[in-house]
Amino acid sequence: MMKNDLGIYIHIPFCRKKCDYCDFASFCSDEEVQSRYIYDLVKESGQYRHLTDTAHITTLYFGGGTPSALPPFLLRKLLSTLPENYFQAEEITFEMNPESVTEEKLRILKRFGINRISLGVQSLNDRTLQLLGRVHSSEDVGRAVALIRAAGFDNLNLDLMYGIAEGHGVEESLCGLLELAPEHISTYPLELYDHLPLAKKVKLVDDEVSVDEFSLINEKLSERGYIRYEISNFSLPSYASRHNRAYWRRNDYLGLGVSAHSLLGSVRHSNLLTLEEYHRALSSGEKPVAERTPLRQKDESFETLMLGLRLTEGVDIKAYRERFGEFSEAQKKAIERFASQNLLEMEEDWLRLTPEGMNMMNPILVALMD
Amino acid sequence: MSKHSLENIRNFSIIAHIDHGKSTLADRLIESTGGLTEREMKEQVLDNMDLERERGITIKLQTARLRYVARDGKEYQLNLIDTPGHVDFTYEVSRSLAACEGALLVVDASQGVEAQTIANVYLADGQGLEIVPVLNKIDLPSARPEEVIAEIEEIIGVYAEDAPRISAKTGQNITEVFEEVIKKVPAPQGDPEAPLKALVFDSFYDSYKGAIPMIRLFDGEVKKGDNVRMMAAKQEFEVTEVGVFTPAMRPVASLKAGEVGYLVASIKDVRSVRVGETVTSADHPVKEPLPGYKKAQPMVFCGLYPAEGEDYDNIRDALEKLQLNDASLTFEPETSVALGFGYRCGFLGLLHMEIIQERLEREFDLDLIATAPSVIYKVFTTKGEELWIQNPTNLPPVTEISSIHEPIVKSSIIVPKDYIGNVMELAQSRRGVFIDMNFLDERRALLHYELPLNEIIYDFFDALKSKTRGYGSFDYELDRYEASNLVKMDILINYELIDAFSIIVHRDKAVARGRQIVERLKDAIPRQQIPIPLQAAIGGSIIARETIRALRKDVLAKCYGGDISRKKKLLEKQKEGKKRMRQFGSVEVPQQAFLSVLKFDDEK
Repeated sequence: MMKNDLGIYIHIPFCRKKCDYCDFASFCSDEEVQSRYIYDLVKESGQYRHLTDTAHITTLYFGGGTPSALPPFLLRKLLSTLPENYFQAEEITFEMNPESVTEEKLRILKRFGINRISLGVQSLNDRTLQLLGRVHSSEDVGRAVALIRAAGFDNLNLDLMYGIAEGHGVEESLCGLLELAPEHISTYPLELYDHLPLAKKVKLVDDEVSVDEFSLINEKLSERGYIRYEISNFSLPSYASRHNRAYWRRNDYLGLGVSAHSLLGSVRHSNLLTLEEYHRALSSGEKPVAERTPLRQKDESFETLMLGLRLTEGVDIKAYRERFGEFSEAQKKAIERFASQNLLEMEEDWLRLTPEGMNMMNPILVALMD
Repeated sequence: MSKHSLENIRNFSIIAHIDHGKSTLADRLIESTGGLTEREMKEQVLDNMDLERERGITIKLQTARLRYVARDGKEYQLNLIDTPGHVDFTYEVSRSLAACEGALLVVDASQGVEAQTIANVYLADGQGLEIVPVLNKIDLPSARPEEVIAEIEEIIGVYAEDAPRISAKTGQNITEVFEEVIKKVPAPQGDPEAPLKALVFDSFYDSYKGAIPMIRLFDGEVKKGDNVRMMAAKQEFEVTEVGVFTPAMRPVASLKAGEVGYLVASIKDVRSVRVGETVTSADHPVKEPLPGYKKAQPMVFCGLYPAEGEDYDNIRDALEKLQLNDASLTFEPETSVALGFGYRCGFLGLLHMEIIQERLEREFDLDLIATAPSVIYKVFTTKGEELWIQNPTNLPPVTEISSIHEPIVKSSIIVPKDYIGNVMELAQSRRGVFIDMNFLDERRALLHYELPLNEIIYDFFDALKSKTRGYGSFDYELDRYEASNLVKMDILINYELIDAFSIIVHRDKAVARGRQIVERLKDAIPRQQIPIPLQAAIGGSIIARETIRALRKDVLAKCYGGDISRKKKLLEKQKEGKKRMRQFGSVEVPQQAFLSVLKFDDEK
């Protein structure tokens, strides 16, 4: 029997300090709470044993928060108590922040089979890092990358932020980043919500500036042989993130931990948002699920476009038709219109956005929504 | 049956400036004569229209027959007819006053005489009423009774030395008010044997009994079984009940000359018993109706649209229900490119408009979009036609317009002397024409200005209050229509004229208003893939311009496992928003943009 492909995401919601722009579930908790959380995580993984034992686990991803914020003994505990078969995944990513990268932690990660590190760099300008409320310096980044390489990791992602604020241009960070020669780069404009501390400190740059900065990033990276395989992601050939790509291809994934999301078959579910609620549910033997959303056919067909078009490869139209039937007349008309504007292209059964189209994805998706 | 005696009847109103304590005094008078039980008091008086209580304004009249045994040992029938306390209802005030022989003039002992006090006194004086001044709020530490008495005597010319000094709030000296009324207000005259002649001074709608007029009998008698005729409406009805207000409705055997009460006659529509109507006997009608009847004309208009399209019919039902009680409210269906189907409603004034809007929202739970208020213009065409226009889209082409006339009001503004400069500046900025100024005393001045109604219907009250730290008071009356340099200003989006945005505006104000509109649109219309020029134009000439820059990027940068549901919802919301967008050529204009221009709000 063919086993179902499954990605697993594990959320570690702890940070040394919450960044001023962060809108994720993350907490500054003491080791006692962290320890209890790991115990809960393992409990939750047990609730999905029937699924994980019968699936083909392709990727495993530890995200945060800051997974590297865990002290070595808790890191060991986490990795040694999760089901062993999780670690048979082909790609195992662990998110780290420069300030908490140590030789010891890297040794532990290596020993448990982690083969990809994602480092939250954001900027290589100390003034900018300070503005963002990051706890590390640009020097920490160089040191962390050196340690990661020395520990034998050959698949490294660095996060880079642009569109930050006047006087905080991306160029310097971009050049510095290229010198560190990562296999993968994720790049995002700063997003600010009014309730976040940073929103009180800075005004976002004009989006003209943001667009120009992205063009610069795109240009420099492609000169160095990086491929833009998704709207915000670049990699050297064959180093695309398999775990993330599975989201965009709508493969099944199981998210464990506070606020984690899952797609299992035609149902999306998300977990409780606070450590207390999460713990309470697991203590009473319940699944810590906050919301369960069964997807209708039209949700799934739209998601296929919304996620698939993020990828440079685009959407496999043959597979789409087999699953959901023909495009509606309105959709066909919209596709035609966008094609004539050079925003969309159709090539041998693949529908994809052009680079210009990628900048205008939202209105295109809205028009394609049935 | 005892002989009907007019000797022991007194009919009186209470007039006052807003906030000077008119309603409190009315409540106190009713309460102190035991017109209602305490429980009834609460229900009937205190809870009567929350809105009025909140705003401290009387809209519907409070009428009561009070029985009072005076110091002379005789029992008197005192008929209190409360007047609506606002300039919008001047005509109603004048009819209420016509039903009385005297008026209590309530003046706040610390505030002194205000613009409306004067206006109301003139009205009462014009009706030949005996004015009985009363100093209220005497319990406040800031009360300055001697000065205010001097003010009343100087400004109003009424002897006020022995005016009762009361506190309606605490009940202090309330009996003095009764004694003054008995002493000063003349007893009514009238012949109970003559044919019926009665004045309708208000009406209301009861879902069981129909429209019920409140009447003052000048001659004759009316009782159950009589046939009565409404002289202006030219309709006849059979009376099924007559009664008086305590202020609760209490049926009586008959109402006679000099008395005040109500009659029930299965009248379907309040428009049959408009304020000012004369009621006479159908069998022995009088020849001449009472003087002064006029149909209240709406002065201010605005469009009311449902925020949700489905509410269209509910708004109609609600407006019809309100109209049952309010003959001066008018409405007709209207369609707007921007807002869909709604109603163009006519009101007596700005307050009347606000009250109707609030009642629709509160009592009928409707979510409304109200367009900016407008006045009605008189347009003369080159062909010599005369048109009444309140919607700019109905304006004939410029080449066919000979002149446009707008309503002008005469206004009185009373203000402490330190703020005279501010008020003059304000009036000037609203195209006011200065008439004269008199000092009322050492501190305060009375200014007269002529102002276009159009300039005061937006936020004049608020502006006046803020420029005088709340001390300025204001009153106005419609004076005339006058030719004015008015133009139609159009708004073009991406070179296309958008009907719904056209407004009639004074030439001198056009540039500022045009600039304001294009700026608001610039904020309200989302950027699109092409740059969008926004223009304000009069005829062919552009007077203001803005450009919405082209959007170069619109994409969700991050979309991982935990973002998908949220981002999908975001896009669905955009899709929903798009449905509500209006397409003009290649430009999509959201509902919000229309609202930002049409909607009545304070940040003008």
